[in-house]
Amino acid sequence: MIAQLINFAIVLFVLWRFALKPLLKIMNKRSSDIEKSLENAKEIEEKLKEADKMKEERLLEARKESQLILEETSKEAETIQQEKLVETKNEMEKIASRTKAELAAEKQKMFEEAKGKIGDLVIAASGKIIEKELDEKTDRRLIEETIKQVK
Amino acid sequence: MRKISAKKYAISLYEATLGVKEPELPARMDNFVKLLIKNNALSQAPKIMAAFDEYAKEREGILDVEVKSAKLLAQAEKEKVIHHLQTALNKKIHLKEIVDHKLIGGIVLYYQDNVIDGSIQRRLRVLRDNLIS
Repeated sequence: MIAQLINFAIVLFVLWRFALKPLLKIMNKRSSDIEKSLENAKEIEEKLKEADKMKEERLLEARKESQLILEETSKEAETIQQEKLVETKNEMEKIASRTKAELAAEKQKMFEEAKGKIGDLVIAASGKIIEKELDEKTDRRLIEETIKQVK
Repeated sequence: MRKISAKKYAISLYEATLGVKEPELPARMDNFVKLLIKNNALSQAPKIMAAFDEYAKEREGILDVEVKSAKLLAQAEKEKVIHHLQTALNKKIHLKEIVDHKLIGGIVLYYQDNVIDGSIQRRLRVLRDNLIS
C-alpha cells in the first residue's frame, strides 16, 4: 500500500514535472499570447479607425479646398470674361469712332477736291475769256499799276 | 597761306582794272591770271567772275531786273518800265525780258530779293483761292 502510494506519488510527480508543468506553462504562454494578440488587434482596430477618421477628415478638407479653388476659378473666369467684354466694347467703340472720323475726313477731302476742281474750271474759263478780251489799253494799265508798286 | 575768297579776288580785279584803258587791259588780266596760278586759285575763276560781275554792278549802281510778260513788251512800254525803275530805285537798270504766255496779261518784276506780281494769272489765282476757301 505504501509502495503503491509512493509509486503513485512518483507517477504524480513525474506527471506534474514533465507533463502538467510544461503544459501549464504552454497554456499560460498561449493564454498570454492570445491576450496580447487581442490587445494588438484592438490597438490595430483603433489605429485603423483613427486612420479612417483622418482619411475622412483629409478627404473632407480636400473637398472643401477643391470647392474653394473651383469657386475662385469660377470668379476669376467671370472677372476675366467681364474684363474681356468691356475691352471688346471699348475696342468696338474706338473702331466706330475712328471709322466715323475717317469717313468725315474723306468727305471733307472730297468736298475740298471738288471745290478745287470747280475753282480750277472757273479760273481756266475766266482766263480764256480774259485772254480773248484783253486789249492793249488794259494791259498797259496793268503794267503801270505794277511798276508803281516799285519803291 | 590764308585762302583768299573769290569776292576778295573780284574786288582786287575790279580795283586793278578801274579806269584802265583798252591797250593796257590784257596785261592787267595776264597778271591777274598769273596771280591765280601762283596762289593755286585758278579753279575759283568762275566764282571770281560771278563775284566780279556783282561787285562791278554794285559799284556802278547797276541793278539787274527781270520782267516777265505774256508777250514781248513794246519799246515804249519797256522804256517806261526802265525809266520808272531807275527813278524809284535810283539805279541804272539792266532789264532782262522773259515771255510767259501763262501770265495772260500784266507783268512780274524780279529784282534783288523782290517779286512784284501784277499779272492776270496771279489775280486769277487769288480769285480761285477766295472761291474755294
